[in-house]
Amino acid sequence: MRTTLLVVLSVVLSVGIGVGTWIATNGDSDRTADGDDRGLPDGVTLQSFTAAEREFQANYGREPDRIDTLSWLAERLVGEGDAATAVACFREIPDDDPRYGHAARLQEGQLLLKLHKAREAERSLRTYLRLERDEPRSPPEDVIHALRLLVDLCGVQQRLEDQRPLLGLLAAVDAQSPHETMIFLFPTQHRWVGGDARKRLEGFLETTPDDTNLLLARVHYLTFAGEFEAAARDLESCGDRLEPDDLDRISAELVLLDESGRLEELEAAVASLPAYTEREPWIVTLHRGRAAARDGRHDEAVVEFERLLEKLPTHGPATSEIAASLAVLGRDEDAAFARRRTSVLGRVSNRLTRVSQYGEAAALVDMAGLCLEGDFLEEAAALIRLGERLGVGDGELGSVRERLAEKDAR
Amino acid sequence: MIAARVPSTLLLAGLLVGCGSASDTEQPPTVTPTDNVKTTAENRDADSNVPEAQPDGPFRFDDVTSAWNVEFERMDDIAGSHRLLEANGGGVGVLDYDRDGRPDLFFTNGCRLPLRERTGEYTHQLHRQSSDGQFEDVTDETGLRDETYGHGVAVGDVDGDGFDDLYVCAYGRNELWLNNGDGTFVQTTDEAGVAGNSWSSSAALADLNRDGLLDLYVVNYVLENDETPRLCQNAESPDGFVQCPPTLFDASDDVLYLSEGTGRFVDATDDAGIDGVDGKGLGVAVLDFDRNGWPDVYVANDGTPNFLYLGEPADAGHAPGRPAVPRFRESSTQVGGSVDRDGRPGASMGVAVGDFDQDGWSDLFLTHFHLSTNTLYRNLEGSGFEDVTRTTGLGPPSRAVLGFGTEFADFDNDRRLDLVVTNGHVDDRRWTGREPYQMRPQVFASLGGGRFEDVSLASGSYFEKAWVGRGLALADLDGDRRVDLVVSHQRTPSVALRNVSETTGPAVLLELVGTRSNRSAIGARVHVEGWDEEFTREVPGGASFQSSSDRRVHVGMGDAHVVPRLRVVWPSGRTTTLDEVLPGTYLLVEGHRFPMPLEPPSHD
Repeated sequence: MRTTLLVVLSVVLSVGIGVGTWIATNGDSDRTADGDDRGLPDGVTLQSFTAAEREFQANYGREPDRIDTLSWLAERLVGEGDAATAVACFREIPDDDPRYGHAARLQEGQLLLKLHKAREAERSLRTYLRLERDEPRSPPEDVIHALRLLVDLCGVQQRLEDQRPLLGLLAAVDAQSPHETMIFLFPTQHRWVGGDARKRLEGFLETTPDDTNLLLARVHYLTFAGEFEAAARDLESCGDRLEPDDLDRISAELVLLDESGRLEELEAAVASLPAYTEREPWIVTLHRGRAAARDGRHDEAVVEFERLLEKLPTHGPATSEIAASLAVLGRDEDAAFARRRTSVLGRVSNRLTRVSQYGEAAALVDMAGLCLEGDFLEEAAALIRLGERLGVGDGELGSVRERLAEKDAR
Repeated sequence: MIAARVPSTLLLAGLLVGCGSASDTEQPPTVTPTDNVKTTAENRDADSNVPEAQPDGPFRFDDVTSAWNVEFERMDDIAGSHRLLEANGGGVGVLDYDRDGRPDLFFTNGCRLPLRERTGEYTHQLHRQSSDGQFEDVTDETGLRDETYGHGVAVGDVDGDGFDDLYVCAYGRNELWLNNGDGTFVQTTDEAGVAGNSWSSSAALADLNRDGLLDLYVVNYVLENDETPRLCQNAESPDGFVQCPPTLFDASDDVLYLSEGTGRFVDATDDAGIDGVDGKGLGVAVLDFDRNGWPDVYVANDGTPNFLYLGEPADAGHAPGRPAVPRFRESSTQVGGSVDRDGRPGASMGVAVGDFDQDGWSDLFLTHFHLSTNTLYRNLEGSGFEDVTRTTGLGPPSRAVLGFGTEFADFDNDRRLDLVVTNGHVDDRRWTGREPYQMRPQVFASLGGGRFEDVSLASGSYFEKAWVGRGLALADLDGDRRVDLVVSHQRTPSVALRNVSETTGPAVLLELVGTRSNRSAIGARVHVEGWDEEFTREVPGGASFQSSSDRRVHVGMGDAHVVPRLRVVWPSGRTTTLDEVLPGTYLLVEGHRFPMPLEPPSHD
């Protein structure tokens, strides 16, 4: 598992996704030891530092160096609940320290999340993953833990595109939880406006109120809550700090205009979109397709929706809307296929919670069967693997396995 | 040395809507009822965002509940443990049970749960409207007294004797009450074979096989146990629990009963092709949406794709004495109406049917859950349905509310169908700070061109306040040919709202009586012709949520003094054409060329 994890990690991190790329390459991640400087981190007194030195010596029977002491002190501070000072200590530990460097980044990330510092947390966690990719030192479960934290962080910010490769990584090493499997396989079937996620986002914003990622995420939440004026204010507040063709900003704007019924402005916004790029947010591509369909350019609409479906075969809106355009184009068989898939996804939606939160075998098997009905074969296979991990018996999984094998054989 | 890992306190489950870290519990919690719902007088929604009343709009509704003595408050046994059973509330049926020309009101009631703890003190209620416009509870003298955990009611003349009967949906046993015509009712559930034993929410009476008899489509919700109800723990909730979402429950299949004409019904669900799976039904509407001459059944499902059963000709070779079995083909995926434009099934509750865009075809409006929009499906001239919500102005105002009962009606007689929705959450989650429990009802004025404007805050004090709204029925209660409203609530009494809008013009109110068609004329369609915009009004089976509206067809006339033409298409296929119709209330019997003017007594 370790080897597989490392291989997949290297692939994902070398490609880099969205803001993750920016953070990984531009983040303040390269720290080197700065010699025996007694300058102390913020919040650390000489008294506490020397006490830590003594404790370390008593525990390990040797005199600590500065990094030893910082690590020991940081862990004590974590236990005492002083996350901020602990972070300051960890930050003094360079990445390339062979004993503590990697773990320090992971610890930082976790603590920064507790401190509601989303962007900094993400930076630390991505640095940790990069370090592990280049030179594995941690147990796999630590790497998986870091991935999970990032998955969660992206989810709170509704960055489904950034979340997806992280989830894929977990899938590659068969480490996805039921919930992670659900949001990996069917991200658009979830309703992402839950109270818990929004509360956490607000917590992040309280700490970093000017963070544009967070503000744009809140635009989505506010829009789906019907709080359009507040959403517009957040969008406007990002305006000066983002380029006009920033696609995350455009994505939030499109959703706001659409859901608030500002349809003329929506048409104008879509008409002025920059050229398609492979890495644009799904929402932008979806709106390209919708606009084309509204204009009667159904062949173009199909192209846009197919782009989405190549990235995410279970993209609900694209599946539903491509069906309509295909029907207009007279591609009746394809339209029927898309409609069938729309129906399947609708029924899958109804089982998400039962699998996600309860790992219910019956719901999982149902879901796998539905995926087979819709010819979502990879998704069916993933569900079967999840079932096996959860200990669902052959008696229950057997028939869907057989059906999958038959379809695969065809 | 590996530094000790700080245990993550982040819950990935927080990514899902409102689910928190739910888990089941075996036993109901011992919590005291949270009876902190504000009284009518103090009523405001939980948010501090109390809206300011606006200057008068096109409509005005006066709350005449007290003035007309409409006294009914439903018993829902809301015990503070957040049982799903407590979510749906009741419905209201409009009928003129004694044929005195004045609509009467029937309210379904709840009772103690589990059912074995019923005390006998709660019953459905029938309120008779007397000549002075006051309502009086006549339940006991009519013999309608019975205690169930009731939900929806369907009204129709099941035995064709000229008097409306009642079918009451319930958790457990449903009930059929036949009107004896002498001011009393008799329960014939068992003889009729229509008791069921499920959690039934709504029902529709309609002639599904076109034999002139009213059949019955019963919408069933989910499988749930009243003895050991499923509960979901939530550590953040003050009492540790939230209501489990319906996704955690298995669906309960709908049932189609065909009338044998003898007082008995036969379960023809399977034979008729009612084969939808995963249907967690809450609302239903029966209408010939595609105009092939056969009724279609639309079922609003909660969180699963909706059903559209398109009716096809009944089996002509049926056995003598047995009803012909119509064929239905579930077609929502093919023709639309199944999911919203994002491909997601809505938490569909109420269904309104009406020709909102005046193209002559009845469309569908569905109410949905909090933080999602209601959905308006435009009927594509019988070939399917298209989600047109975004172009109508109905989407944005619906995100912050949770809709139940809903109806299209022309409230100001301007010929255009307006829309009313009653709202209210299913569970008290005010502790979240983001989910109100009571919610304001909404009324939308049609602007023409398929667009609506939210005029709720300019429509009277009732619409300024927040309620836990459930069933909703339309009725011209006072005989002034303006459409009034009756709304059933949870936690507070039901209300009657008198439409006192300054109308743009008069109206025609048409009571249709079938002869070859079913006596209630359910399924009749009235084409209004001769004006620049021609439109349609139909008599659906079912509709709204758990309620049954006044079946009389209301046609607002705008600034006209006469309706050029009303072309009535009866369920039997016969047609009656009325030319140059003056404002008024009429009785039209199938097969007769002329309507009979009626002058129902008014209150003033």
